[in-house]
Amino acid sequence: MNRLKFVPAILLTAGLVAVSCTNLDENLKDKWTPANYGGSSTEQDALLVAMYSPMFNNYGHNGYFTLMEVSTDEAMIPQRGGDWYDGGQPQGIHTHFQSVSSSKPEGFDIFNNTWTNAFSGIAACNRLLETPGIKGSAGKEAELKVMRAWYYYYLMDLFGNVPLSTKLGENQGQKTPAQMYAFVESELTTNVPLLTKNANYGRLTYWAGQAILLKLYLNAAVYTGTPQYDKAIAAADAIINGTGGFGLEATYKDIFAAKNDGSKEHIWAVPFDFKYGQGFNLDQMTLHYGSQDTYKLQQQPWNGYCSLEEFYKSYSPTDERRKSFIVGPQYKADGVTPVTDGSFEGAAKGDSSANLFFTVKVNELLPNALRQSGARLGKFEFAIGSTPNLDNDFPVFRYGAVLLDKAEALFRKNGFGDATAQGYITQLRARAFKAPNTNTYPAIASFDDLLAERGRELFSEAWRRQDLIRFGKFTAAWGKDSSGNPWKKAESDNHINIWPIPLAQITATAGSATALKQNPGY
Amino acid sequence: MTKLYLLVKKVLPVVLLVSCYSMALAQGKTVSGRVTSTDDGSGVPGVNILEKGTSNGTVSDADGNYRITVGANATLVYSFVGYKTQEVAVGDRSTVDIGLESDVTALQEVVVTGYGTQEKKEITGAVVSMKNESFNKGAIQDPSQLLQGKVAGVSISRAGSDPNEPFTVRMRGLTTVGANQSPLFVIDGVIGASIANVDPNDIASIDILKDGSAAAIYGTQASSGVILITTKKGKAGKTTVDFNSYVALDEINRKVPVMSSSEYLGIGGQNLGSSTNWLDQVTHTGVTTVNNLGISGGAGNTVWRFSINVRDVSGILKNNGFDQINGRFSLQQSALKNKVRFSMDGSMTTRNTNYGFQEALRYATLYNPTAPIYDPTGKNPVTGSPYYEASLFDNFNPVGIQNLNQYDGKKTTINLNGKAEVDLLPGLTGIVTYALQRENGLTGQYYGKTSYFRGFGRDGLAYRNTDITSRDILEMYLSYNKQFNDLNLALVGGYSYQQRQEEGYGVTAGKFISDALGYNQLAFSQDTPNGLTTLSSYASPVQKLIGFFGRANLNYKETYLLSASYRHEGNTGFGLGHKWGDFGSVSGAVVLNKLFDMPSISNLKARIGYGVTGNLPPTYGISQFQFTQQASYGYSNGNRIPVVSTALASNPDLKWETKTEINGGVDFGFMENRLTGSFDVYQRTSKDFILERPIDAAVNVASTQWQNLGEIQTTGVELALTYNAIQKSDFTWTTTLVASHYKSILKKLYPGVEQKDGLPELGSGLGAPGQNNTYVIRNIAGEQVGTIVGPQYQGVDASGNPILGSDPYARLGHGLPTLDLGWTNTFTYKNWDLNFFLRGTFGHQLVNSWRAFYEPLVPGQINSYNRVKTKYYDPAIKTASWSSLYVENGDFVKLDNLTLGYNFKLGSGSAVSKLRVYAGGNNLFVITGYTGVDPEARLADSGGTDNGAFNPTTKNPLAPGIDRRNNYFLARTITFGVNLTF
Repeated sequence: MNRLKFVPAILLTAGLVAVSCTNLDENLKDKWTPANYGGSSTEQDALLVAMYSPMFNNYGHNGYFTLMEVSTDEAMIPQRGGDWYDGGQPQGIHTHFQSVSSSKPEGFDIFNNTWTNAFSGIAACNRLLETPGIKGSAGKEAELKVMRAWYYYYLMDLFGNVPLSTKLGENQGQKTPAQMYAFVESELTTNVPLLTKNANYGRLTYWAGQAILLKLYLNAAVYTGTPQYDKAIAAADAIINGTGGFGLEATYKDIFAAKNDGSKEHIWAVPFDFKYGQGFNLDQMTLHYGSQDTYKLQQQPWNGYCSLEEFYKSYSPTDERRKSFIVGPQYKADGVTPVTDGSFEGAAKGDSSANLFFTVKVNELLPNALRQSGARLGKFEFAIGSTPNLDNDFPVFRYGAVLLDKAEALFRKNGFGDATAQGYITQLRARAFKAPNTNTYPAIASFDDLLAERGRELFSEAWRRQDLIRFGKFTAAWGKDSSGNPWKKAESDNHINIWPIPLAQITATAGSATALKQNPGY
Repeated sequence: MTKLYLLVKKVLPVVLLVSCYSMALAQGKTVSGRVTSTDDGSGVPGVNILEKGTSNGTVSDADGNYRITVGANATLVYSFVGYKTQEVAVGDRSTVDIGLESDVTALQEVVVTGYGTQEKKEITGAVVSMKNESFNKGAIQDPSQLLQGKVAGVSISRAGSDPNEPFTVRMRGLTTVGANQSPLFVIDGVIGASIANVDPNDIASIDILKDGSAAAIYGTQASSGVILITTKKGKAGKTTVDFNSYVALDEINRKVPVMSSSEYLGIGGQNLGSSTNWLDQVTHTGVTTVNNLGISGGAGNTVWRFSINVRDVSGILKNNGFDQINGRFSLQQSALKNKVRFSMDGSMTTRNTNYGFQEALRYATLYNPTAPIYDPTGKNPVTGSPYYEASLFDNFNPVGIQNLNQYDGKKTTINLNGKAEVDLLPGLTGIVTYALQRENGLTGQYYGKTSYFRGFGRDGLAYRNTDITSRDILEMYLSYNKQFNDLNLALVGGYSYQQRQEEGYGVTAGKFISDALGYNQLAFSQDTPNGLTTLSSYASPVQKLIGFFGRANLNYKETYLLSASYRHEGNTGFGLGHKWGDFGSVSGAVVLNKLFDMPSISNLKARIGYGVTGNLPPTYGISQFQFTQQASYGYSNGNRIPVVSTALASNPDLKWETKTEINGGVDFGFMENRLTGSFDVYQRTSKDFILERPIDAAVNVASTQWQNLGEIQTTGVELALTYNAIQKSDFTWTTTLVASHYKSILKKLYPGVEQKDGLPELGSGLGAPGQNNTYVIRNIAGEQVGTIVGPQYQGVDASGNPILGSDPYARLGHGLPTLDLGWTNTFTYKNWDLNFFLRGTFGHQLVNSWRAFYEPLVPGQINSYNRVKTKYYDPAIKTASWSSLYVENGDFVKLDNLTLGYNFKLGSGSAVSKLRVYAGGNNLFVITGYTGVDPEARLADSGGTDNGAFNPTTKNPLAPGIDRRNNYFLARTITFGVNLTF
């Protein structure tokens, strides 16, 4: 029958249609791919600055800042009743896990957050070092390598035995702190001289590179067992005597003002901005809910971070730097109307009104710290009307701290009689007291004096953990308050000087040739 | 897309041309007659009359009359849904009148199986077919509700009664963690069509393909089963008008028990001097009205149906509900003596949604009962609104939330679906279908300048978002049916092209001078000069799914049945070289009562099937290396410049997730099919499911990557029994019981990795305030999906701290149920009908987060929130510390529906042919030991939110079992309605 002829025709047509409709290429419309991105210099510049992005995550909650501050004697996050227990992690970090009933701190997400954030920077550097247009440019390569060295430096400082990768996909395995020290030193000494000596806001310069070297050398004994005070002094001198134009701000608080970009004290700062550089939210972390009215904040704060009574009291009452704490009665933006807290425990301040009053004393670390307890971390100015993203630039390295670091190296090398070192201390203290100088602190005569001075100067700048370790005090007991409360941290074991390798990373690498090994003691 | 239209344009003429040749078939003689019903002798319109072994056929007219030209020695086959099929040898007769027996057992019914239909007796897989008379009754707003509890192995749940929240549909447990955890919906043959665009009143039947062998013809979207919905069609003959209308009233059924004012003050709560019943302030009796009008008819070669459905739905929460208009048409045209058949279906739904704020329920439950609604000074000194605010974390005046803010949306969905069928040769039919779906949504949110909730800090805050999705499907296939003596062979094979695209954009802007214009005039936002306006947009690639498929069914003497299917399918979302996958099935059945002499058994069929299906990636682009611009900016020479970095660690090896399933079952009927049922046993294994996994951050561009990981195995049994217990002329009772038991085990998660305690492993935690990083659900290879973990509660010490067991990761329960039961009873007595339906779910535990946060008398919290007070309340506990104390059994039985109806006797001359009035109720009672609002299993987790943050839109299926504070309350619904046909 002739109609049969059409069956093959149909099948053929269907077949042709099918063949022409089997293309399964996935053409992304809302993301760039290597096929359509990266050619122009503008596009490459945008790629290049990705190396800095992780730094914007370092000063929020549950990352680098928390690890450097809350684990020390200058800051904590108490459990305030129903708030801030959060699996016991914030208090566990503060007590070096003594307050944690479970013994699995390696699973705390703060470790994995900090680790993956730094490695995302390293991965960006490794990728960019092989990106056409960037590869081969000596200046860009040097900047990438110094940035990578910085990430490796603080990873090693935090976690000790960190895997090294200098090429995407290639893992050289975990390095000891001494090995990583050698790598970082070599990278820095080779590449820092290639960096620009001109101001380059938000970017690494020759001076920032010297500041990293200064930290590396000042702490060399911790990493390698061998002090490097001369090298530390040389790095500090490169900055102090160099042409970078750095100097001390006349007024201490100006270093941390909301509009502090371009401060002559900043050697390298993370250029936070409410819009263009989000991630710095100390106002949210430390202020009380009702403080929203004091600062007219766009979001209600979380009433978390505060300092310790012992630490607060290490300041002379006339030390201008003590204004870094927010204490006492709190008022609304008009400066007159008290901020109230409906659940305010009146007895704690001998006042039955519900007016909010930040007490220096914290009644306990957990479970029921009073909501108003604790001096708040107010060193960085909270501008009226702030968003949860503060505008204040965060100085990673600043000139005043370089003087202090150099003074320490000199003291350690030459003893406390070193006049240059005492001179730097005097210079910093002179600024800390309003004229006429009412300085009541004695000259530095011991490492305890020096550590206390470092605490007063560098509070809330994310160096305390490193300083305590270098002074052998990180594992010491702390937390005494005027009435000797039971939450104080007892002496901790030396293994706490390096944090655990994050459990998620151990799991992610398990079974591979470069499986991560947990640090001793965890 | 133009390509598709061209295709339709090119292919259709060819098909038409071919069909012209098939009309020259006619030879032999003409037979005519009338088809009547043996019940009442009335003519039956629309009966299919087919000359056996050919494709020659016709359809009876409005009075049941027909005429057909047949060959010599012809046998005519008369078939019609609801009647037993009959075969009659024509012999020498020129008139064949026939009486059709109605099919009480429904065993002979036609089952839609994908690219065709089969008679139920030919089915070899685990397939359930339901006609509209057995659907759930009552206030039904969503088509999936029609099946809730009715089909063994299909669980349909929604915790709480938010009319805007869709039901979660799962078939045979959790099959995948990626896309398609819900079964694939196929509406009138259109794969993946939106069930939101089908009004429940327009559904004629629903067929459910449960096992892999039945579903495999749909290949890659069928791993979680397939639900095929067939809408009502017109019938030739008299024009019929159906009108249905009901009013439903929703009231709160269960609430979270909290302290009274005096109890609250007794435990030290702060007395603010008033007494407010906050829940009364934010809830009301939700009044819902639903009206449906359907008109159908047909003449000659045309049948049609139109319907319009109007719904105005209000929940128990004020400002929460939707109103919707849905229209649908169906047109079927045959030509050339029914050798060419065209059909066109279309529907459109436009829905205005008022989302309201579930947060109002949450804070109404927790707010200080002595707090005043309004600020005593008349104006809140901080916000300037009239409402009192405590100015505390996660603490908002619920009345203020409701009255100062708005959140609503509009969505239009359009489906069009055309189909042409041409009988090419005897038994061979060519079919081309083209379907499109367009969804267009616009939402708006506005938070007032004085609203402490979201608005005040931003001085007024507006959100506008639009989302458009489009789907297009072209399918061409051939269907062949041939009888070789005792063997029937049915073949189907063809090509399927589907594409999908999503795009949209959104704006967030704040700081308005006045609240008066809401979100309608974004240009008046002062945030543009501020730099705080945020913009977003997205556009997916064209996501294509292309398949070649075929199926063969063999039927030997209706005793031995064999079926095999195959689908070769490709998708754009996988890595190069991994885009195509092969899926298929084999299944067989033996009808034992035909093989052996079993006088007391009316039907006994044993089935076995094996099928492999696939699953799509959860989102697009995850196999590719991509750059994305970051929110933060960088600096170059002192100037701000954008930052571009890699979006994710691409995975070019990403491949299909597959599921294999073996199913064995028995269908049976005893006592002349008065007792019928089926029993199934299955095991399904999904492997290579696609999850975002942490990877070695040291060497990769990012710390996570989407990978093919792990394996979930679900084993289960299902039983369905229907018994026509009483069948007297004025009294009938039919009872149906369905039961399913299953367990989903996570066989593997990360290959080669020994999991250690301390990580949530894709589970979930309690959340803020204060319980972040408190993981309550973990996933551990070798155990059930979503294990509830935590320390055992052992008492409380003198200072109010709970004493906890030493193991912080003790296994405390599982969120997924192990047993679902449904029991339906239908009675008729003279003109009365009564239906009740009990549904129960057992074996699951729930994390009662209300209690975990607010039952302990935490000193620093007493003044902030009222306290939850259940039977577990212990005033000695003063610390909110996670433990087994907050894990409760979720077992429950609900009276899902009770309906009593009355059918009026109508005179034979009445214009009205049917008039029924009814009253009913949903959720009239709940029997459970659970202390929360709804013991329904939480199959997936939306995460915890606090302090006015937005609820996440994606849910984690690996964290079942958490009763969150943002869940809506359960309503009790009373319905009054009328059904009218004329």
